[in-house]
Amino acid sequence: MSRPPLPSAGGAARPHLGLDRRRFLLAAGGAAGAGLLSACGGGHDSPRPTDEPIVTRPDRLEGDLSVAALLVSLENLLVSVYQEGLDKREKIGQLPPAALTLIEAVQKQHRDHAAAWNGILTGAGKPGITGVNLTVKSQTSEPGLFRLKDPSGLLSLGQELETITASTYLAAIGALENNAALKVAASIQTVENEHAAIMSFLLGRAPAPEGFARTDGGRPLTDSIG
Amino acid sequence: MQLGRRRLLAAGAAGGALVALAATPPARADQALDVQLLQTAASIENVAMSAYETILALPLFGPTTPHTTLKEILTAARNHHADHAKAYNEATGKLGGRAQTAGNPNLSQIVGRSRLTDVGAVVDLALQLEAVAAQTYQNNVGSLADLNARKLSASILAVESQHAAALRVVKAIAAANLADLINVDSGAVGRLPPDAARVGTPDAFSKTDDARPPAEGAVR
Repeated sequence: MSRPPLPSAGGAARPHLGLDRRRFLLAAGGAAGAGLLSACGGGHDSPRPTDEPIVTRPDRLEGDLSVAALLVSLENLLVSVYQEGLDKREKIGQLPPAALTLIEAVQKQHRDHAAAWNGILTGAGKPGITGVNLTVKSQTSEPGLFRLKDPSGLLSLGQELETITASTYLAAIGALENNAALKVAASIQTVENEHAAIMSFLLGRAPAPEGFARTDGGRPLTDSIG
Repeated sequence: MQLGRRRLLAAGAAGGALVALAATPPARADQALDVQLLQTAASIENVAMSAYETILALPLFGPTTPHTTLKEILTAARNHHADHAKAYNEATGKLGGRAQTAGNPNLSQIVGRSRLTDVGAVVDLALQLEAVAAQTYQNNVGSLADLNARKLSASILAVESQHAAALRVVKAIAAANLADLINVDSGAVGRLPPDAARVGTPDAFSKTDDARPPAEGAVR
C-alpha cells in the first residue's frame, strides 16, 4: 500500500509554520529533559488512565512542528531498536567489536537528534515526545527484531531503518519552511545517510547504491506515535 | 528584524548549535544567488568526476587489482558525480543560468597537488572531495530559495554523505594496515579494529566548515 509522502511543493501547499517565531528555539543535545510527555497535540476530551498508552499522530500539529514530531518518533524508534538489539546479544551472539562500537555511537547520535527536534517542539510551547513511531515499529522493527538470529541481522535491520529515516528527512527538507529547522534537518540527514552507508558496507553491500536519494520510503505525517 | 538570505549565509549553518532566532523570513526568490550556488555545485562535481577518472586509470586499480571493493566504490562515485553535474546544470538552466563545465578552481588545485601513490593517498583525496561536496550541499539546502533546487541538493547531499562515510571507514581500515579487509566479507567484520566503522560517522550533526563559498564556481 502506498503511503502519502510529506507534503512537498510543486503545486501542493507547503505546511505553514504555525508558531510565534520569537519563541522558536533550537536546542541541541541534552535539552530533552523538559518533563517530556509521551504525546503531542492531544485533543482528548477526558483524562485517560495512566497505564493506557497515548497514541497520537504528527499531523495533529501544524506545519513544521508536525514534521518535527514525525522525525522525533523515528529517532526514538531507532534508539529503542538498537537497545533491544544490544539486549539480545545472548540470543544472537556477540557483536563484532567494530559493529558494537558503531551501534553504540549511532544510538547516541539518534538520542541527540531526538533532543534537537524535541527542543524545537518545547520551544514552541508543545510537549516533547518520548514515544516511538508505532507504524514503523509494527511494520518493520518488531518483525525484524523477532527474526534476529545473528549480529548481521541487527546491522541489516539497522540499515533498513536508517534508510527509512533518511528518506523521511529528505522529504522533510522539501516540506520545512523555517530556515533554522531546515538546516538542522540537513545536518541530520547527512548523518542518517552515513549510518546507512556504513552498515551496508559492513554487510558487504554497496554503501551508495544510487546516484540520487529518494523519498519513496519516507514516512507520512499520518504515522502513529506512542 | 528581517534577516536577508545573504545574512543567513554569512551566519553559516552550525549543525545542532543552539540558535535563538529573531523572525526568520520565508525564503524569497533570489534567482541569481541560486544560479551561483548551483554552478559552484556543478564545478565541484566536475572536479570530482575528473579526479575519479584519474584515480581509476592508475595501475593500482588495474584489471588484477586486489582492491576490488574500493574500486567498485570509486567507480560508483565517479558515475554518480557525472549524473550530479548534469543534474545541477539542468537545474541551473531552469533558473536561467548557464551550465558550468569547468572544475572548481580551489578543488582543482588540491587535486593537482595530490600524489596518488598508494591506497591511502587515493582515499584521502577522494574523501576530501566527497566531504567538501557534502558540506557545500548541506549549506546550500539552507540557502537555496528555489524549492526544486533545494530538493535536488538534498538528494545529492545524501549520496555524497554515503560516499564520505564509506571512505572514512576504508581509510581507518587501511591506516590499520588491514587493507585486505576492505573487501568486507562475513569474516572480515570480526577482524576490523573497534573504531573502524564508527569513524565513518564522526558527529551527530554534520558541519559545514569546509563548504565552498557560493560564488567560487560560478560561471563568469
